[in-house]
Amino acid sequence: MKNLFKVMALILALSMMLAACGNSAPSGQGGTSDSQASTLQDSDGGAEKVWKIGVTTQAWKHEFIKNLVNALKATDEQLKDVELTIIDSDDSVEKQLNDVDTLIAQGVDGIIMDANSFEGSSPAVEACKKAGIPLVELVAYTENEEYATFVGTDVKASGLMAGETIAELLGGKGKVLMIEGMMGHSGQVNRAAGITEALKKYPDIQMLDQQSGEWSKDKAMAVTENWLTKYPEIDAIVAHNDGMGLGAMNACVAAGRTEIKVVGIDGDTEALQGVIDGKYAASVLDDVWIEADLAVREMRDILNGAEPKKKIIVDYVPIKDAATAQKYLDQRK
Amino acid sequence: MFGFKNNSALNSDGAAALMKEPGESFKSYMRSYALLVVFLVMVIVLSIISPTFMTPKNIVNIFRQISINGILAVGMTFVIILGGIDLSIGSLCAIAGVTSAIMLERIPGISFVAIIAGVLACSFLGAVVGFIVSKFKIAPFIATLAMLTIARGLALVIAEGVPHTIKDPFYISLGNGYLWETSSPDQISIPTPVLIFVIVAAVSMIILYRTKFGRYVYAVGGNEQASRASGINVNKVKMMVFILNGTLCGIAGIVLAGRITSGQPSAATGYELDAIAAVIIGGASLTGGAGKISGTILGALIIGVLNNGLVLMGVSSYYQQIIRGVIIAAAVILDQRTKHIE
Repeated sequence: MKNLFKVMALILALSMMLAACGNSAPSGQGGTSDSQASTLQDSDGGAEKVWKIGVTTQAWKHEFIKNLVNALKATDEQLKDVELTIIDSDDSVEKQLNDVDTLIAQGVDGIIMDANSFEGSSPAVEACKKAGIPLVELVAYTENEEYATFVGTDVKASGLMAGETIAELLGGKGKVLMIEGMMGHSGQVNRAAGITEALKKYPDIQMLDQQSGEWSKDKAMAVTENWLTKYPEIDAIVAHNDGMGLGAMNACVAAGRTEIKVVGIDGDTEALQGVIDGKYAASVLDDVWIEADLAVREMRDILNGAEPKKKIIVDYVPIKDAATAQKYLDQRK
Repeated sequence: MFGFKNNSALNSDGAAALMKEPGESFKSYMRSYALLVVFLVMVIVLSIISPTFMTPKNIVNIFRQISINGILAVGMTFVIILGGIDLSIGSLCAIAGVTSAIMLERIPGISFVAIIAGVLACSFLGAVVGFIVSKFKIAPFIATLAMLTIARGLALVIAEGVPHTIKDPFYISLGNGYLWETSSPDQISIPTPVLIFVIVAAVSMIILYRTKFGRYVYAVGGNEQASRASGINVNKVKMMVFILNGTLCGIAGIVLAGRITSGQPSAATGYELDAIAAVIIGGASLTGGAGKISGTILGALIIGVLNNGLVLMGVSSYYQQIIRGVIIAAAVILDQRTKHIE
């Protein structure tokens, strides 16, 4: 029995830890303590209505998504009439669907979803429809188009821009390699299509090879190392994201092949720093700060009775020089 | 119900253990009681912290959320009682999803055939693992590590790397459907995955506790030499366990594909870890010969309740990972301690 008490004490301690974590998150975001929040709710009508919005995102372990989450938190802090609960789906489609169900059970007014899978996340659209709450999709959208609004970029445009940037850097002539994302991922499919389409206009640019780096830096590094031994002459490497681009850059630097120009997509912090240092040729920045802000505002407008805009497309920003890179880097501090 | 097998008796003499009913001793009540206390305290604490937690809708959600992991964990229980481990179950799930989705894509309307084919594909891969383990005396850890990458690669090859949408309403209902339709969002119903999980658990309990095969699984896991000496066809038992486990992976993979309305080659990555965690929390011993399906179900429930509660409270995902690890460690420590007092 003594052991049982110990176990119970352990569990109690753990649950207190949980409670502490749970409370710190919303108060940190909303800037109000719990007691204040409850008095706000109690004084019915006295204060402005605060919309509770649930947000489900792709895995926070990806820097791009982490930037998106930070941007969402900044927007949450800025707008006093919304309160965001942001949940990490940890790259599991099943978890994302479960989290949406949980948010609906919790009684949120609307859901913003950064879809994990074009096909797989579609049941969440159904779930929101059934619960009668609006759904705004952010950055990545679903096959089921019965959501209120999509806020994001045209993924293929990033590939087109990356391809154009390569052509510009090479003066329309040279040997190029492409590191692709996870095969079958919509980002991989569309970026590959964009890059290929852009480079097709330049007959003197030759695509030597393309391999998947599975969105990962070390995989991309290994792929690049193999290429460096296989191809004596490489002018540029284009990667479907900056993580892989940075891996390629590291491999080139380690092999002393710094003449190879590496271009990536997303605008990760390390990539922007690389552009400033002159090691990384260029990045195509996906401006998550604007996208997050637009998505939350769009959801607020819908909740306040406005007609959904259906589609809000944000343009990519090419980062080719140190000054532009510095500007976006400063924004993140 | 939550009883536990007398482990020491099995280890000393596997053949004698065949005569014993699993889970009748006093200590078994002690430890299952402790695990139940863990679960109940969690439920009480969460319902105090989050007003949503104990709502009927949320409880239905929790049961649906644990169904897939539950099915996988039941299969894993057999493997772990046998003294093995299976790392390939996530990849097998993906195989079931893509195989059936592609069959349906080619010939629409044959959902039943496609689903059976998806499940059988996993049974076959389970048989391959069983064959390697029993014929070549390769440790299950290694054999299934190999199958983990082989099956994932196969899934990517079959699917040509891309997800395949499932449009068949019957298939989708296996993951997203309910036993009866509700007219308003406030009414509740039992989700189909929960029904499938309950059937799987019930059938598995009958196999494990009420058949000769079930006793052989305990015996081989407890003492392989003694089992062999007493005339058990050890290789056959191993083979059967891996086929059974593969089949359950197939069923879980089908439910998952229905849930995410697509066969995805990257689906269920890392699911083996949650399934193993459920079995371990449930009190099975990694050295084999001990474990109960009821314990595994409780383990899956603890993980599911924890995941749900952490999301309800808006705990940052970084802390969530730490907390889940702490709970797993705490459960195993508790397991050890209760064994000592006995």
